[in-house]
Amino acid sequence: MTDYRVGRGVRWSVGRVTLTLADAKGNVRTLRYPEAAVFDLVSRGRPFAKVVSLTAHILSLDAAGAEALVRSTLEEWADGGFLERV
Amino acid sequence: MLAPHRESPPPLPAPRVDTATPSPGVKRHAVFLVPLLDRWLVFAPLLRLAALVNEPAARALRSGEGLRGPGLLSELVDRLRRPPASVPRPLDGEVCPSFLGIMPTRGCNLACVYCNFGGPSADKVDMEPKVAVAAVDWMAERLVRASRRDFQVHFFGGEPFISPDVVDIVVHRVRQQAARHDLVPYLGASTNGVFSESRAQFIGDYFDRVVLSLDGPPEFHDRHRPALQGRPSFEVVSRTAKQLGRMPVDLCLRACITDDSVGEVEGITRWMIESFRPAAVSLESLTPGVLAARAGLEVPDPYRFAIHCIGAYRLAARMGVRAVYCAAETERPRLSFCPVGTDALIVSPEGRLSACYLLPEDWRARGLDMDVGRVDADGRVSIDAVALDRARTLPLGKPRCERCFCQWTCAGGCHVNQTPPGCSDRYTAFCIQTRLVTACLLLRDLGGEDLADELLGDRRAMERVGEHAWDPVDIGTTEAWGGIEDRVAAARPSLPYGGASERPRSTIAEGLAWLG
Repeated sequence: MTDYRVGRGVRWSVGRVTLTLADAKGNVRTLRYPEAAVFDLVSRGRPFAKVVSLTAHILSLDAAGAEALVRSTLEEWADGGFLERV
Repeated sequence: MLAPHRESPPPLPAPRVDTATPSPGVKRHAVFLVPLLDRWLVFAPLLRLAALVNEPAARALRSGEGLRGPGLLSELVDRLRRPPASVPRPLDGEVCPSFLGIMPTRGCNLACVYCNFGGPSADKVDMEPKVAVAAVDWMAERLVRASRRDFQVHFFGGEPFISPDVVDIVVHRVRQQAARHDLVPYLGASTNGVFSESRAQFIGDYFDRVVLSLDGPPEFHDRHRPALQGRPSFEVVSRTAKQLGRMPVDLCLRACITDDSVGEVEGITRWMIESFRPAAVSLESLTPGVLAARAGLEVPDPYRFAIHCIGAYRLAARMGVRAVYCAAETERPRLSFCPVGTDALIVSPEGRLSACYLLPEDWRARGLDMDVGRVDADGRVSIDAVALDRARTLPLGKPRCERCFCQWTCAGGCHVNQTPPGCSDRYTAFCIQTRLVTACLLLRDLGGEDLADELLGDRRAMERVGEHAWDPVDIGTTEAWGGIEDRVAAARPSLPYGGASERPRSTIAEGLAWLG
């Protein structure tokens, strides 16, 4: 199973209900919920399976729904350079 | 990481109007006279007014004679007879918690020798995620119905951060619901600080306020607050305090003061401020208990506590930091010392909804039941209206407080440990130190710190303040208002522990009347 970590040079700021990412090239992206929760969990090194189970509770999703959401979100960020696949 | 954005909490919700009446038998008073050396302190907490008068003026106030006519005394009496803008009252009607308390576990990773929360022996059972989510959703729904925006959640324990999954779920569910309903989340925690740097980073990023227990340098802290196997905990707590002190979280360092450490209170305060740059330093005296007695710890002498506590207040103020002794809340009148009676609801790991975060067996031992409802694992939240009303009116029945000028400021202290039902009406050490600290803070607000010095240097004068038998004075104030009981406006509480991140200061002593 692929795990992820924050991309090199990526920084972020936690707002009241958002999270703002900035990569080394200056690209900025504001995450709202549920994506903000997913990024926080990944950024703190939570393994993929744990991110999925916590996201399921946070969003009241079943396991399959949570896994699909987390997987697609992480893949998109990995493609965009905000995350690296481990 | 970029610096997180922080805003000040919004003002408290507007007072609600209700019609509940105080419990019979315990009268509340509006004006008090306290002997201060050769003068008397007049204190009208509901009017946020304090003044110093001489002996003849005090006699006139007490007898009701010679109050009319020109002069400062009649001016003071006129002011004392003005109706207050509001009087704190018990809440009624539908519950809308002032804040939601979440207790992820009663377990703890320390074995504090004075623990009153069952930490060293408590089961490390985590709250069910569904219970946590249901409680958060219920709170959000209540806020929306009440048209309130401040979504305040505070974590208690045990040690909340040994249940990281529950914390993560609650933090993000709160923020998600806040975003959905246009609420403003404020997250707080009371913690022992024994966790990783990564967890501290998370707390600094997501929390607005943290009350961190730190009893001083290692010689005090490690004696009071060892880890489970008796290992010292100071190093990691100190690291956490340093880390949080650099982050945009409102950090309150809370020290438990014993008879051993009371002489070092100013030194501990200075060391904390220089080492960790907290927003506030909270100084609380040891609560007597079986574990504390077994460890050979004793409550501080109340007179020494008052002297050193005021010393710490002054020192902290000079260093730009706020010192706090929770029982001496002179900024505004209140009915309850703590969340009890304010509709704050604490969710226990097993889903009880309670007005108090202490152990249920401790309430029961004093004839109290603080449970007001339940959160079931299927997500249902139920409130027992009778139990809620019982919690709302509990702060009113305090016979010991009837004669004390701190009845609207200390409000009787802990309902379980200080003024449980049936307690003696004699002042305790807690009462004496609270009376002295409160009097000195009022003197400070009146610009009379030299008088406070004189008082604290004179043991007999301190005893007169600490043990004065009857403070209330009836000058027809309540009749002029139509009676305290008829002035109805409920005051919501501020924060759990009344600690770090209080609202902007305003002085209670708006009237400076030097009549001596």
